[in-house]
Amino acid sequence: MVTLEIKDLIKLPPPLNQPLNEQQPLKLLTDEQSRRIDASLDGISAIGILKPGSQQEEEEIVRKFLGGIEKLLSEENNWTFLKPLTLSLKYCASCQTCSDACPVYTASGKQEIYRPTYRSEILRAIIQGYLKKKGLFNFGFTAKKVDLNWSTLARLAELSYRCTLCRRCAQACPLGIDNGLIAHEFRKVFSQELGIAPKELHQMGTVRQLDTGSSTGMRPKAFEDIRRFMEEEIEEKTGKKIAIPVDVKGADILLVHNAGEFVSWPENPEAFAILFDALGISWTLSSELAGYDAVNYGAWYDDFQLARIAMRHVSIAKDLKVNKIVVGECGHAHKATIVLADRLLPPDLAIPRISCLPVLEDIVLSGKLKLDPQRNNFPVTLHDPCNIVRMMGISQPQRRILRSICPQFVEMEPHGVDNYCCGGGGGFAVMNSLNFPDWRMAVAGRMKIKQIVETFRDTGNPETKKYVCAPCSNCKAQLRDLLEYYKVEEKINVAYIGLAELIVNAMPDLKEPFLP
Amino acid sequence: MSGFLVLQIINYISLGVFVCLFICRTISIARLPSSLRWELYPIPGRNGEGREGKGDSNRFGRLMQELLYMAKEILLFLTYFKRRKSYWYFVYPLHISLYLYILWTFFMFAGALALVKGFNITPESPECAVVFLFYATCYVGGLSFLMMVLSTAGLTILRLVDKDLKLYTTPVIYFNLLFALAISSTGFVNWLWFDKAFTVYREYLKNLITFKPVSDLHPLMVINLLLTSLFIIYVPCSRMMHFVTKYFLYHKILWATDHLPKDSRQNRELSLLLHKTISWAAPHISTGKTWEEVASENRLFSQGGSTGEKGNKNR
Repeated sequence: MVTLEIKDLIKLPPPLNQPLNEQQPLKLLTDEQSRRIDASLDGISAIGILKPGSQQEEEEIVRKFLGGIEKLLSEENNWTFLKPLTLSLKYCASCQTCSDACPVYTASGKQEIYRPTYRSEILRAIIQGYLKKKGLFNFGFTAKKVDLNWSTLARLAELSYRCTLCRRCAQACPLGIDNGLIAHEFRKVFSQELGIAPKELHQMGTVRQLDTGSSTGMRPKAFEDIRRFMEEEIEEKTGKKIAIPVDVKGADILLVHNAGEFVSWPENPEAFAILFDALGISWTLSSELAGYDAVNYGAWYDDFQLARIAMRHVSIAKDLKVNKIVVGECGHAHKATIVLADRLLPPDLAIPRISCLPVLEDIVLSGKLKLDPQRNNFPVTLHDPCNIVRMMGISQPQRRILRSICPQFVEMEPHGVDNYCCGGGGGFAVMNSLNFPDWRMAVAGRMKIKQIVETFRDTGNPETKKYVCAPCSNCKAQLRDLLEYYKVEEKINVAYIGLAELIVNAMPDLKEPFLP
Repeated sequence: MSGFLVLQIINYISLGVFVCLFICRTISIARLPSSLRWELYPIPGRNGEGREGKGDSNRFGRLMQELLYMAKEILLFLTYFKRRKSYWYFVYPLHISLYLYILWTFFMFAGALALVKGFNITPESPECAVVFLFYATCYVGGLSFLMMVLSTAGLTILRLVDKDLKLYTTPVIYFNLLFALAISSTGFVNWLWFDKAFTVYREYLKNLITFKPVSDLHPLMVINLLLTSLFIIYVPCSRMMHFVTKYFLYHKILWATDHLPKDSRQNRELSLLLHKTISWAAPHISTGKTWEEVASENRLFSQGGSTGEKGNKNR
């Protein structure tokens, strides 16, 4: 349908407008992959959807898909999102006000297939053309016609993974129509009816998390090893001997981190341990299966996986008899555990679930902890994770923290609830199959890298290290990849960091800087 | 039966059908089950603190701020103004013309009632209120029709020439615009050439109110009244119901951050839905079980320890 070329994408500011980035072509699938996998949407494959072997198989998939759409519109199967879905499908004014709010559509140079309303119009067309009784006022009158066949389905499946679910489009809609939700609902039909989902989200994501305890594959034994490692590292860095509590019954707080932190950025959970210890907070981690991994990829593609993991997290907290769950620096875990789970949990599992950001703010602003902002005297900007800020409204605690501990804190534009997604939202940050990472970097993350470079444009000396503070694991993963892809660290010396690390770095009694 | 009587009967029926359809549609939307929380910020009255009670307005204060935001949005269309000005130039006058049309209907109805009471609606009337009614009806009605003609014609043209809009404009959108254009243009011409003071309209409305037959009407007015009746029936069946759905989308979904009270109707309905059998067919979902059973497969039960293994066997 579309062949993406770098020259068609929006231009990047200097120094990213150098030939290296601007002429880097988007990788194509290999011939062998192309034979097996359908990538006819835009030459990119996020799911690796296999071509069917026979006409019969094609027809069966189409039949099942239509059955899935019917289920999507039924109360018993989809009560979870039926109301916003129905209203968004029926009452969109087709004014296209949402289009320019979408970072993917804008960054792509306004490729029609990425327009927020594009997939919604297809869903309307499928419902009108294939599920409603035909009549003068149905076919082609209220929706465009679409030819539903296997090829359309394969493209739709891929298209549902060209939206980061950041919901900037819904924010821009004067009628409250949510085209981001429609992408989410498409993903659900493919997963819940056809068993089609990116392997990083399903088999290696939610399934693995429920099987082994974490989407990283970390089992309780490995978690225990990492805990010991972190204790040693804390002692090395701070000279303090801190015991990281695990499975402490009756603690006030059960702290749940994205397990990616333990694997890739242990300094983040270490920072939490240092801060909680310094304030004498009663807290614990859990070593139960999934209790040490806050992620819930179900939030992006499957309501049942979402519910299973949410219930598991909360039942672990209940079992530990803690007073509340505090979700660490992970955006989608915030939304899944605190917001989405709210109406899923049976009454016996109703337990307070809160964000770590107000907790960190209390620690910083309490005055009980000695902090020296001069230790963070370098340019710092803040990336607002969509799930925490636009979808939960938590925008101020992290700002007050940064203003008090980072003298050179500077805002991105736009910021807060209007901020751009990092490009790793909706599961993209962990999706690394085939040539999808190339698209994730070149298109999905383009607005963010542009924003970062523009923010630090006037900070002068390229030798000075600058930080993007991202209080979200998936955003950090995406930023790590983006900075590397665009060679931003080399060119203007920008790195990323979590919020808790910046707080600990400001502690004056540390032997050496805490930041890596 | 005279043609005029048929027109009057259609008027009565259309009003009745509109009320029934409007109520049914609104109830059916309201009865859709409460979704999972799916809020979206900014929300008026919430200050970005992320914890209840700090910085946010109280419940009443929040409601007031939400209503204030909505009132500004409804009266000024600020989102369109900020984000898509070319569209605002037409969609804003269109909606203002609709507000004026409603106001005009109110004046017409008041005038008709005054006629029933024996007042003459003329500028020479000794009653100030009647004089006001006379002029208000003339200007508000005329302006409403004029604005509606220009904005519906403008929006139709915009949708034909703007490539973004054209691609996504279905026949029904053109139909809606042309329908409104037909009503407003017949109304406008009728006002301009035949009934500048809406005297005939007012007399017609008086007859409707008092259930008296009409003996004579200009053909253009017949067309206008007939189209208006059909439009009234059509509105609840169309996307134009967005003035109702906007309430549900904002107040019940995007701005709904409160927990459902335990004994609320919505919570009881959700409990019933959780116990209904689902039919999703993917391998990891146990078709035939209830929503709650499928969702609980991996929860931890303190007595029996982890049930993860049991849950995994189902995949």
